[in-house]
Amino acid sequence: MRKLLVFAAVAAMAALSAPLIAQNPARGAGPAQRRMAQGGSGPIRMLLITKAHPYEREPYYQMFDSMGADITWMHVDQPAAEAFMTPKYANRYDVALFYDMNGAQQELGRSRREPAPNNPFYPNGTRMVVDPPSADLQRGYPELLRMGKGMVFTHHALASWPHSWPEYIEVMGGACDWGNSITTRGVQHPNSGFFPMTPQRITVVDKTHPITQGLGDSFDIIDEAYACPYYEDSVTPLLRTDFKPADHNRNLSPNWKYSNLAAWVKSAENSPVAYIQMGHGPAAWANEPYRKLLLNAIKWAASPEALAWAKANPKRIFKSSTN
Amino acid sequence: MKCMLGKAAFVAAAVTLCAMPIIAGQAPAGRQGGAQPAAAGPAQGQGRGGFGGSGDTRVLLITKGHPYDREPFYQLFDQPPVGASARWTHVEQPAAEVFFDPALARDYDVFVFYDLNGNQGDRRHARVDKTGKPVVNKDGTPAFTWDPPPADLVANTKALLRQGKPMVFLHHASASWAHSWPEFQEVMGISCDWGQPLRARGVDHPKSGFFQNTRQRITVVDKAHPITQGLGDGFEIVDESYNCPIFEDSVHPLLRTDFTPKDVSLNLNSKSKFSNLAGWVKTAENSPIVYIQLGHDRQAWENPAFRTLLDNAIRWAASPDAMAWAKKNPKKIFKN
Repeated sequence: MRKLLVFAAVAAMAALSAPLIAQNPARGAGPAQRRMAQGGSGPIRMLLITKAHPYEREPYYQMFDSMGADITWMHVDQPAAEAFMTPKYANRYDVALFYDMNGAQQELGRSRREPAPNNPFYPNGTRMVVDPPSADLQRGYPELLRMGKGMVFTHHALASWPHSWPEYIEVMGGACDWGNSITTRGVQHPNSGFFPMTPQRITVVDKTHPITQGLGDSFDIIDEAYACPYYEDSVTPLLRTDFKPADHNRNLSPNWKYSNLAAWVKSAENSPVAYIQMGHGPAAWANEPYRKLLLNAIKWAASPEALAWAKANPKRIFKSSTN
Repeated sequence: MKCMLGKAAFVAAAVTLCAMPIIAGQAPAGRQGGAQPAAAGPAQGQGRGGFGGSGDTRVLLITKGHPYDREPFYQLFDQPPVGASARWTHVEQPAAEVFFDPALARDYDVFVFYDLNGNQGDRRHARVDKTGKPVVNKDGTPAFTWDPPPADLVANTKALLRQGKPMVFLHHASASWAHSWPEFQEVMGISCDWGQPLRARGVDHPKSGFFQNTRQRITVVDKAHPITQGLGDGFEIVDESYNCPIFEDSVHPLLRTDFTPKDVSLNLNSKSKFSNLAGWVKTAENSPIVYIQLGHDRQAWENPAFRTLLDNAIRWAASPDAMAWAKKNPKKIFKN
């Protein structure tokens, strides 16, 4: 299997006129099922940003390989990916896809715990204190958004920077932290909810949007659902789930209404932004409608039409150009 | 990976404890509605490896340009010994070129290369004659020209090597920039291209040789070097061998293979001698450099001796001793 896989990758590379690689097939490998070349070879250059939340790597990467006719993807782990959040390197990619959970990495010395006794929001008696993003990131990221770089956030990426960069939450349109209480738009919530392997029906609520094309009225998926604060009033809904948490107040403030959004688009400064809640593991990644949805989102975020839409409907998030 | 978020910490711990990354993808049922805070979950011990490694040596792991069996390769870096001494950040080419900027390289102790850079489709062009007809090499393969490396990459590489950034090159990384950046070949001490004839140090060679699944005896030729500690006299391995021009006079040999190609001149200029070097150290400007020829697939990655060798190489390259040695024995490669 391994050899077949390597052979298939090599064969695909050969087909793409990579003579050097083509000369290096695995010995004894027979004809194999066709698999796309590692990294793809399509016209859309995608930065695939991960780290700080584990995931099953190979099936995840194979999903993007399978989109290889449309995208060429480059994997960059956090915190290295922060280097690309600036106009300086913006010409190296067309769209950034986030599957990371950046911001509070303890091993990078970015967060610590301090005592918080006798507070129901901190059941273990401590709360997390997180550093603000670096000065470079605070400077570069808003500039990148003003340029209009397309961004797709997926699943646990919504837990990036929930404690020390409220503007980043506004960029995405929601925030999560499954291990800590978070405060968003002035409302404090308990730990967010995650509900693994939840059978759900996802309903398309905007059938005209490019991202929902080919999905019909709805589709079924088994995936991890969330109960996190989403900013319904700041997003254009695309998909909703029929999942509802049994105990609202366990994960959300009583003053905050649970949102069953499963995907949306919005603008952030001049950038088109998409968020897709689904995508925890192989069960979702193997789901055909999910793959279609994800590829649609990547293509849309990288398209001139999406950029034009975001520029016509800009959302000011960062205070000044020197922020 | 000790993560502050309860759910991630739990999953990461599961990965560490079970060493089965398949679990990483799916948080187990029964924890619905939110995880316990991180402190309540099983803590991950320091130095046990894990998703992305858990050690102190900060590795920038650079790949792309040659396919490989991804998951077992990453597990090589997750698991002890490498994952216990290193913490790695993966960056694919050509994005990795950005990190040659010394300001960005500062966050990493050592660069580990498993890439094949400079040969991307948009950097390689079919060679045509005056009439526009494609030129064919002597061996019948279509001939190409290659773009030189970008000016900022050259300037940054020079600056980085003069600062002394440690670099470890593995296996097919020896084919990076084989045609359009001779200084980069001098950095590594080797040049390969298994698909095209190449010129190294002014000598023309046929396309390089690769010999997969080769059962070899690797002999330690410098038993005193930190990189060979724990390897004894040598070890057996089944791995892909090469026949490429190696600059023997510019490197300090550590390991040699007993493999010899049947027909050396098939892959080397008839006046050149086959080198059976399988591992070496050298300097490039002020940087300590390691090259390890081994490492094609999991037959090598799962070989305990190879794991020890790789761990030793990363730890040595990142050590103050190696950096001091390189500064004392600098090798000027770039002209200005």
